[in-house]
Amino acid sequence: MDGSPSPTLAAGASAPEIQTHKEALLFIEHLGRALKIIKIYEPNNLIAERQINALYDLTRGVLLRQKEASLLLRQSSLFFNGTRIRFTINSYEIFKFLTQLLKKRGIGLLTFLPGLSREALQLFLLLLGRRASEDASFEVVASELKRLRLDNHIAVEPVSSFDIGGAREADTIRLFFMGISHLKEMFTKFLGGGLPPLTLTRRLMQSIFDHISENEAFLLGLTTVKNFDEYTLNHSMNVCILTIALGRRLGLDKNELAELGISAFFHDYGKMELPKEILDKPGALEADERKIIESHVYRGAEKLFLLKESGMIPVPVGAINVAMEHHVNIDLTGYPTYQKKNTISFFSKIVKVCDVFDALTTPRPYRPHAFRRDQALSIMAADTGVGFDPVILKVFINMMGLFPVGSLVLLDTGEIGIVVENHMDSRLFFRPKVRLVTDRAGAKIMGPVADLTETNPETKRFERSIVKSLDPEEYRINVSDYFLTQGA
Amino acid sequence: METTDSRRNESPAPSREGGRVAEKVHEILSLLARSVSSIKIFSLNHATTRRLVDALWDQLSRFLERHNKLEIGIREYSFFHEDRLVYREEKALKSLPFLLYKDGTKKILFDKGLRREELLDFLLLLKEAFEARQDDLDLVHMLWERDYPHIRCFAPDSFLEAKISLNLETQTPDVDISNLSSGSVELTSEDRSSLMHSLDDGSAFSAEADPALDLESSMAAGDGGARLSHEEDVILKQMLQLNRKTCSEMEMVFLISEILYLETRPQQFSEALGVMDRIHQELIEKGRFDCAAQLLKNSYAAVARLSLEHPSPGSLISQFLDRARSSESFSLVKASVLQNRPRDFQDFFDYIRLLGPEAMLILGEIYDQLKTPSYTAALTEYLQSRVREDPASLLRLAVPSRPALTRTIINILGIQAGEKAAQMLGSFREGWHKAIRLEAVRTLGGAAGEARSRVLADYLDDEDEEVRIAAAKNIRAFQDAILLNKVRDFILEKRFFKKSEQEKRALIDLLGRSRTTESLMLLEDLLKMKSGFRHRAKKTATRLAAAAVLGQVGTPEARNILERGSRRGNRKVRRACKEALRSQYRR
Repeated sequence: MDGSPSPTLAAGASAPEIQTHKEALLFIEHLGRALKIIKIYEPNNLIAERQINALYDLTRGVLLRQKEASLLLRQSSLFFNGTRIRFTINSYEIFKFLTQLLKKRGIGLLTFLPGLSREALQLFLLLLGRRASEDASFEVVASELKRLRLDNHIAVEPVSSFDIGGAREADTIRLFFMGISHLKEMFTKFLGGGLPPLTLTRRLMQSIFDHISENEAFLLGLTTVKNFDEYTLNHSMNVCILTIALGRRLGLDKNELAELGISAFFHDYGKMELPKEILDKPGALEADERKIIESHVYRGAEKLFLLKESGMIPVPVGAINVAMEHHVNIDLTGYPTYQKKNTISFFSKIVKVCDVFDALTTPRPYRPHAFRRDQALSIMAADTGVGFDPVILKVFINMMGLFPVGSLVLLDTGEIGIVVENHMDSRLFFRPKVRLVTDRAGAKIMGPVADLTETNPETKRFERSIVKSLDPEEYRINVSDYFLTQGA
Repeated sequence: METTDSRRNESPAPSREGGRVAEKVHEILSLLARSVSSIKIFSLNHATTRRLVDALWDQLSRFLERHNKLEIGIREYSFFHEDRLVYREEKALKSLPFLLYKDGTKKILFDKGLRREELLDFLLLLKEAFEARQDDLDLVHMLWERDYPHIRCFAPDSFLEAKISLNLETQTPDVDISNLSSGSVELTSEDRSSLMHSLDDGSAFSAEADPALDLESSMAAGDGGARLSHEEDVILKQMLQLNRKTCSEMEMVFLISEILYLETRPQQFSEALGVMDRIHQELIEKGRFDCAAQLLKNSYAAVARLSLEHPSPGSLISQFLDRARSSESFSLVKASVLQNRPRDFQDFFDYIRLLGPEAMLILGEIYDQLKTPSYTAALTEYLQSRVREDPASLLRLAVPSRPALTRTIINILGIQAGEKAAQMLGSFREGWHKAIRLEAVRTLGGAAGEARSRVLADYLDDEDEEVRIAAAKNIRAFQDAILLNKVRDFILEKRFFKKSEQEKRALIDLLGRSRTTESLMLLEDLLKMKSGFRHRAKKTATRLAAAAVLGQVGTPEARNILERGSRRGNRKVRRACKEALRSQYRR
C-alpha cells in the first residue's frame, strides 16, 4: 500500500530533486486534506474553501512549470510527476489515506492537466471524496469525469493488475510460518557449520515488507502467535515483523529495512547453543546461570562475525550490532558492559523496543503469565529515555495504538472483541476495529469486525466503546487462533 | 536464441495483428538481450552498446506509447507476450529469461512513462545479475530495492515456499475452529463490575457520545496526535542520517574488540582473534587505516587490561600486535598504499605511528614509488613529529638514492635542538654526495651550540674543500678546548699552507670568532710566524689574514696583539696590523 519511506532523500540528492520532493509531499498533503474535508463539509464552507484554494494554487503552480501534476500508484509506492514520494513519519497518515483511497477506486494514475479550473478541481474532489461515492469503481469515476466534462483537465487510468493488493490473509499466514521454518533451517545449518546464502532471507524480508504494506494490522495480529515450535524461533519472527513495521514508519528505505529485518531475525542467534534447561528454567536464575544467559549476546555476535568473515555469507554489520546490543539500554546500562564502544546502533535501538514488547507479551516458564499488550506498552513507556530511545518508542506506541492489535477488550455492550486494526489518528486509538468473539450474553461467536468509530445515526452516540482491556489467559481465549482462522 | 520452429511449435496460431505485435515484442526483447550482452562485453558508453540501447529505447518507448504497457510472462528459458512465445534462449548462462526465472519472477512489466535513465539502470542491473555468482544476488530483491516507477516484476511467495520447503500441515499450529464459536465466556466479577460501572456512568472510553461529525472534522484537520514534535522529528532525522553515515568497518572494529573483552572460552577466543586478524588484514587491503589504527589502539588497551585479569588472552592479543608489526604485514600495508593511493595520508600515518619505528622502513619504500606531493608532505609532517621521540629513526629513511627526502630529514634534524640531533647530522659525512654533506653542514650552522660545533669540526676533515670551508664558516663561537686544539692542529700542520686562501681564511676567521685567550694566542702565533723560504708568500698571506681577523675581534687583548705586531717584523705584517688597528678605531 505505501512505499519505502524516508524522511530525507537519499544521500546525494540534488537541489532540484529535493525541491521536487518537497513539492510532492506538499501536494499529497493538500490533496489528502482536501479530500478528507470535502467528505464532511460543503464546498462553500470556509475551511473547505480554504483547503481547495490551497490545493488549486499549488496545482496551478506545478502545471505552469511542469505541464502536468500526476500521482502514480505503483504497488507499494506513490510517485508524483515521476518522483517517488518518500513519506515522513508525520505525513504517513495522509500517505496511507491517499493510497487506500486510490486503490479503493481502482485509480492507478491521476493526472491534472493545464487549463484545470478551480471549479473542476472542486467537482473532482466531491466525486472522489464524498462518502456517497465510497464504493464507486474506477469505471464509475471515469464515466462521471466524462459526464461532468472534467476529462479534458483531469485524467484517470485504472490501477494495473500488478498493483492490486494480492496478499490475502492465507498468504500472510503462510509467510509467517515460512519465516519460522526458514529461521530454524538457517540456525540448524549455521550450527552444523553450513553456509546457507542470505539471498533467501532477504527475499523473506522483502515479502514481510510487502505484506506489511498491504495489511500491516493483520501481520501485527499474527505476532500474537507465541511459543510455536521453539520460543526463540517464534519470538525472532515476531520481532522481525514488528521491527520492519516500525522501521518502515521511522523512514528507513527498502535496503535498510531488509538489513534491519535480517538483524531482528538473527538477534537471538546466540541463544541457540545455550542449554535449554537454563533458558527454560522456571525459577530464578543463579548468578552463573545468569552469566550464561547474558553470554548469548556476544556468542551470537561472535557467530555472526565468523559467518561474515567466512566470506560466504554477507551478514550485515547491523545484524552483528543488534545481536550484541539488544539488551543494552540507551544509557549503556544493561548487558554486555562495553569497554571501548560508547554508542549503540540505530538498528539496535529499534530491535530492542520490539524485542522487549514481544518478550513481555509471551508466557515463559519463568513467567507463565504474560503481560497484556497494552500493559507491555505501559511498562515500556515507564522506561523511556533509560531503556529505550524516546523517539523510537513513541513511534512504536503510535504504531501499536493504546489497544494494540491482538488486544482482548471488553465493550460497553457486554461483548468481547479482539482488536484487529487501529486507526491512524491517535485520537481514535480508543476506537479501533475489533472482531467480536462473544455476544452480549458471553456466548462465543466468530463475529464480524466492528469499527468502534461507528455511531448510531439517530442518537449520534457510538455504537460500542471499550470498557477495558482483558487478559486473554484469564479467559482462556487464544487470540492468535482468531487471526490464524482468517486464512482458512 | 529463439528459432522460427520453436515459435511455431509453442505459440497458438497468431492473428495478423497479434502476430505483428508479437514480432515487435520479439524485436524489443532481442534488443534488450543484445544490449545487456554488449554492456557485459564493452560498457554502457561503447558505440556498439549505445547503438543497441538507442534502438531498444526507440522501439520500447514507441511500443509503450501505442500499447501503454508491455507485460512479459516468464518461463524457464522463454518470454511470453499474451501467451505467445516471443523470445527463447536456452543457454542458461546467457539466457535473460532464465536470469529472471531462477529467482522466481513470473512476469515483468514495462509501463508507459518509462524514462530512459530508468531503462539504462535496469540494463546495468541485469548486467550485474549476470555477473554475480548464483547465490550472491537475487534479481527480484534488487528490483524491489530499486523500486522503479515503470518497470516492475511479479514474483509470488510460492518461490520462497518452494525454497524453504514449508510443510504447512506439520509446521503450523492446529486451530480448532469449532472451539471459537462454541461455549461461552463468563466475565470475572471485577470485569463485570467494570462493565456495570461504565454503563452506569458512561465511563467507557469516550462513550459520552462525541458527535461523529466533530470527530471527523478533527480527523480532517489532519493533525493527529501521533505526529512527532518538531524536535523529535529533527532527532529522528539525525538518527537516520547518522545511521547512513556510520562506517561499518569501524563498527566491526569496536564489536570484535568488545567480543574479545567478553569471551572467556579459549577456543572461541582464538576464533574471535582469528576474525580480528582477518578484519585487520581486510582493513589494510581496503586502505582503511583509520579503522586499522583504532583496532590497534583497542588491542593495546586490551593487552594492558587483560594481561592482568586473564594472562592468556592478553598474551594472545599481544601476538596479534606482533603479527601487525611483522614484515608480512608491512608488505601488505605498502601494497595497499601503492594500490589505493589515498588522497589524505593522515590516517595512514596515525596507523604507522602505532606500529612503532620498525614500520619506518616501508615509509621510504612507499616514498620511492609514490612520489606524490601529498605523500611527501604527510611524510614530512610525520617525521617532524617523530624526531622529538626518536631522531635516530629518521636516519632509516635517509639513503643516497633519496636526496630530496634526505634533505628534508636533514632540515627536520636541524630544527631539533639537542646533542642527539646534532650527532645525527654528523652521520652524513661518510658515503654521501657533496650536496648532502653541504646541506648537513649548513643545517648544523643554522643554530649555535657546542655540540653542533663539534660535529661541524668533524666536517673540517671532509675530502671536499667547499664542504670544509662551509664547515669552518658555520662553526659559531666556541669555547671548547678540544675543538680549539683540533683547529690548532689544522693550522699548525704543514699542509695548512697548501690549502687555498679561502679555506685558510675560513679557519683563521673561525679562530677569530672564538675570541678565547687560547685562540688569540694562536692568532698571535700566526702573526709572529717566520715567513722563511718555503711557502713564503703563503705564510705572509696567512699572517696578513691573522692581522685582519684580530682587527675584527676588536677586544683589548686583540688590540694589544696588533700593537705588538705593528712594531716588529715583516713590513707588510706591520702595515696590516696598523691597518687593523685603524679600522677598529674607525669603527
